[in-house]
Amino acid sequence: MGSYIFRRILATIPVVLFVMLFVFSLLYITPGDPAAILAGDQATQAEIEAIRIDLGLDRSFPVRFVEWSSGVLRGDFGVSIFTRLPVSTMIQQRVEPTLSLMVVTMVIAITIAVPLGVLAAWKHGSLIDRAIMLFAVLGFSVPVFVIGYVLAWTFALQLGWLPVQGYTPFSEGPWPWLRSLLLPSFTLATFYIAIIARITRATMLEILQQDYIRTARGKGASEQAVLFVHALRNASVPIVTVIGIGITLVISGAVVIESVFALPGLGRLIVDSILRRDYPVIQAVILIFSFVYVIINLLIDLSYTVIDPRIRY
Amino acid sequence: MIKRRTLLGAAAASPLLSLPALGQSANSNVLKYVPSGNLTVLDPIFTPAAVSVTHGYCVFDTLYGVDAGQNPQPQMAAGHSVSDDGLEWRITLRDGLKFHDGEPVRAQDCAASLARWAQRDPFGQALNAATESFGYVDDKTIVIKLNRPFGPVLNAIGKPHSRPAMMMPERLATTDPQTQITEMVGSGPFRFVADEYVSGDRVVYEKFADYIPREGVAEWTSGGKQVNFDRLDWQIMPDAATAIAAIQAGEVDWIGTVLTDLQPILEMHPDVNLHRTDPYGVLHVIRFNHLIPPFDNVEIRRAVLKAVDQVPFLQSVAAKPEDREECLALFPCGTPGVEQVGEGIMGSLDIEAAKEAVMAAGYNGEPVVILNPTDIASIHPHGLLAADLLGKIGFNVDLVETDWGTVVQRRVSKETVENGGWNIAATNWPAISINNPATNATTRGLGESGWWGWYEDVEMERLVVDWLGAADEKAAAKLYLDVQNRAIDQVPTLPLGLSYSSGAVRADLQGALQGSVDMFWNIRRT
Amino acid sequence: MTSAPPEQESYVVARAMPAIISAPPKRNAMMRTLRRHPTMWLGGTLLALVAIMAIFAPIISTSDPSAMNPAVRVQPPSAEAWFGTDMLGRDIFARSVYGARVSLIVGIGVALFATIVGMIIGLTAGFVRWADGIIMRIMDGMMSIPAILLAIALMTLMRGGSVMNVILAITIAEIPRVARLTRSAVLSVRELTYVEAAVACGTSKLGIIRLHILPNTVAPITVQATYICASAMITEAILSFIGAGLPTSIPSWGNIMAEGRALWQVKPNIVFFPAIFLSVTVLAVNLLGDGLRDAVDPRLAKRV
Repeated sequence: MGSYIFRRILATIPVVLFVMLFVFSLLYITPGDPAAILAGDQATQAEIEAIRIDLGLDRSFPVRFVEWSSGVLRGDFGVSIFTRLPVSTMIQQRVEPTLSLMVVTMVIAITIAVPLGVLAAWKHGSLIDRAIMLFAVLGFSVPVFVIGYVLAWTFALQLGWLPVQGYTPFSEGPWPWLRSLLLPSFTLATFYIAIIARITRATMLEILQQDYIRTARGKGASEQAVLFVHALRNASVPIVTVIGIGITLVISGAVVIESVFALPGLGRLIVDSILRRDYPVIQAVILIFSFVYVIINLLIDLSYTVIDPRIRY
Repeated sequence: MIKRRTLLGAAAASPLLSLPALGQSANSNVLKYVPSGNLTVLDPIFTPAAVSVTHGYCVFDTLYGVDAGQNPQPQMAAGHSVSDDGLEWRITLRDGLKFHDGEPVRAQDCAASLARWAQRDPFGQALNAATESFGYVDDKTIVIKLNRPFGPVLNAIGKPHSRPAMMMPERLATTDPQTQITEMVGSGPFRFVADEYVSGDRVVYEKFADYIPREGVAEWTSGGKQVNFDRLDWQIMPDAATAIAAIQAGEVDWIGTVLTDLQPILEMHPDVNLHRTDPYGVLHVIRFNHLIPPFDNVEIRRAVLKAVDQVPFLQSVAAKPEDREECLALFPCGTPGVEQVGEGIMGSLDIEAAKEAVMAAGYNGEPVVILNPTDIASIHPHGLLAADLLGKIGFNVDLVETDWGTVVQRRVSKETVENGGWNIAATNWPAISINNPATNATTRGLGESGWWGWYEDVEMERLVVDWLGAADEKAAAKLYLDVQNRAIDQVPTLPLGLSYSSGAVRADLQGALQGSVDMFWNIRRT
Repeated sequence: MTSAPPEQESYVVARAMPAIISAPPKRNAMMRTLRRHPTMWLGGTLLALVAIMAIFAPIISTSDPSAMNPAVRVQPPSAEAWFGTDMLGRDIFARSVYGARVSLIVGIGVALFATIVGMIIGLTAGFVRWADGIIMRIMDGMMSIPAILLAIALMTLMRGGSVMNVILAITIAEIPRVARLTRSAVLSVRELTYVEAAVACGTSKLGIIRLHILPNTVAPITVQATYICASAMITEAILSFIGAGLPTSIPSWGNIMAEGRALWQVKPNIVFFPAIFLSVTVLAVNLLGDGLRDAVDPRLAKRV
């Protein structure tokens, strides 16, 4: 087990290295010049060139890559081209809303989706099952921003229950914090609920056919015990896998939802940064996203051994 | 003030009960503002972006401001004197001026600030060209030594928009002009709170206690800058609809720009008033690239000018008739001395006649590349409409639509279109920033060292130099008119008319000023 | 992202996606399922309607989708403009009808390219032992970048909007998923006794791919392709919505919505109509995909 974890962590190194090189080269060949954007509409070519030299953008690819990656290894992501603030500061300022959005979304999605999926499998073929499955298909057919606008229009503008926009930090109290997150999280969770509910139903259906479930029923175990103790436990491997895959989807969704609900998170930071070619910020945020992805997948693989004793590493 | 002290007294008496009340009173002393865009560059000399100018007027002060008639008025300056030959200008500073770090404002600081500004700003560069040195004789007296007469010295150092000459401590002002200043120490009415600055989300200022406002009424960037709030809190909202919802709900006090189609909602709202800060508006233009065919040919440019009807261009950016104005000139109509010199020329040809004129002028069917930024709402429709118009009058149009970052990079290319060059790009200028021959980049003829498009015109440059050194106002006025006629004759740029934008202010706030950008003094809560 | 031993990975994927490993269905069984399966009919019919709309867009739409007339900007729905007009006075009905073209071309194009390229990469990884590690680490790296961000970055790289660029950007972002799926399918099929036997008998690699692997993977990959098609349509809309997709000179549901985005409180029609079109189309593709999945996976189909 220990050596497996060690090997897995070792195996993430080439992935992260690849992402570093890939993102850096991608940005290097991407057109668009931050110096020209910075210099403004009146700028002459000479001024733009002077700014480019001042920012060090005139230097060659290897020089810039080595400088950047050695900085990253020392934990230094450099300085934003535009704000001249350290990238690490800008990221720290933006982590909380995105992290909160992810956590609340996951909690909402799992608490709704898993019972729905179990219910659909249990009552499979019934009207409830069909309704749940219809909802699930709709859930990943309607674009996330459309859901966002419909929810905001209903619950914020018409009913006035929740704020239209903005983020309240956790430090101002858990309730205001949660209020500011409910609409964006529900919006983002719709898609996620759909996927988890479907996969839960599918695996539960399969497992409910297995002999040991029949045995459990035959031994007189209660229906709840059969569903949640015997079946769901055995169904949890694929469910956990999908939850893991879903985390990247949540990150993708956050990019859109943060704009719709004006949340000052990492998603908005990176879209703004891509549009104005703020290379150090883009590189750092993508690196962090992919690092999070790698870690979560590692945790998921490890969790298999906990959930399903048949899996050993 | 008295009310607040009472509350503080109550707070001491019964801490538990009074906490919410104290919070409320602190809250009402905060002005919450939504700027038109994200503040990314803090140095107002480095960039001409409007949001950086707005920020600049909070943190920094200027030697001269302007009144509503655009006449320079002393601001940090107590007054000035000019030598008999007009070549030495002495400006004395007011007493008691302090920077936010507690240091007094000295003439040395101002001289260094002027020198840096004069390398970045176009009006400043014109002044720089006529200047021997920006110096000082003592802590209170700045000396500008000229090498030739330059009439509008005070207009230049008092210009209200696109890089106003803002005063910084000498240690910051000696920074290379091509490098941004990030430490925000000025002598303006607000102090920048660096710890709370989150780019893309919020910018926070505190009232600067040691600021001494001038006597007199505040008007534009001149007069008494009396601040009536303890804190100024900018909240950046990327989604226009979100900002509208926020001001309706009272979550914010003031939004810088309201999209033209959203204004009707706020007009009907009892607690919100629309506020037009800049009465002069924005001049929309289409710029030609003069280095490569076909628009290096003045006859082809003239044919296009004659085919342009400004109305659809204006309708595409301003929904209400009162928010747009045809202006058949390359200088902003409504500012002093500007005449509609394009009358009888612009729109004089219909589509068919224009098509013939383009052919007669010698257009060979080469592709015309139009650069159009998809993410800038005030420019994007004009690229589309220009492509539509040029296609109709016989041009072989290649509409290149990309994001702003790619447009600005390609725009500096002087190559042919096959090698990544371009022919046409739309943009717009705050009218107030191009209201004279020296600052109007759209008409200057500096060639390859000038504004993109690189229009070269020796005659135009001669007129500009003459205007700067004009002996009296009458001579200056005549030269200004000559410049306007020259511009409409040579068509360095196509004028598309003026549009006016509005912001919105909660009804309980009074005294929002007019000016080039939103300013946060004089306004108070009733 | 995993370097778990192949058995475990295929186990996990197999459990997660019951459709992956299955014997190729018999043709008549498939037809029977099709008849019994209303979702497939519903999806297919809806999709056919959208396709007809796309093909006959010039006949159906009442006006030129690109004709501008700022004098009649943001009009509500009326007899002249059934869905109203946008900020440049363009007819939203005409634009929505033409938008079907972009969505279908992008959806199908991405599904096709991503599947072909992804399968080639996945087969290579599954068969060429020494290349497996390198290929899968690269795929892992690409998968670890959120697809939307990768697509936005690729769009700026390709100097902005043409339909081909959008297809390319989304395809590149989708490839790793197909590659992984193909590889796991290959690995699990390889372990089947009769395939092991074929390998032992000295059948060539290409022969094994042709005779055993492809027949066993085509079905699940086809199902996967419909889901990719649906997700590509949504990604295109999101790209345009953020402003990194197609320019408005090419009408797409995403950029019609992007135009109306700021006005959604006052002029919901601008966002509403293309949103309905897009949702229905994606729904149709998903229903078709579900139907296909049940058809190729008899174990599930039996029960539904």
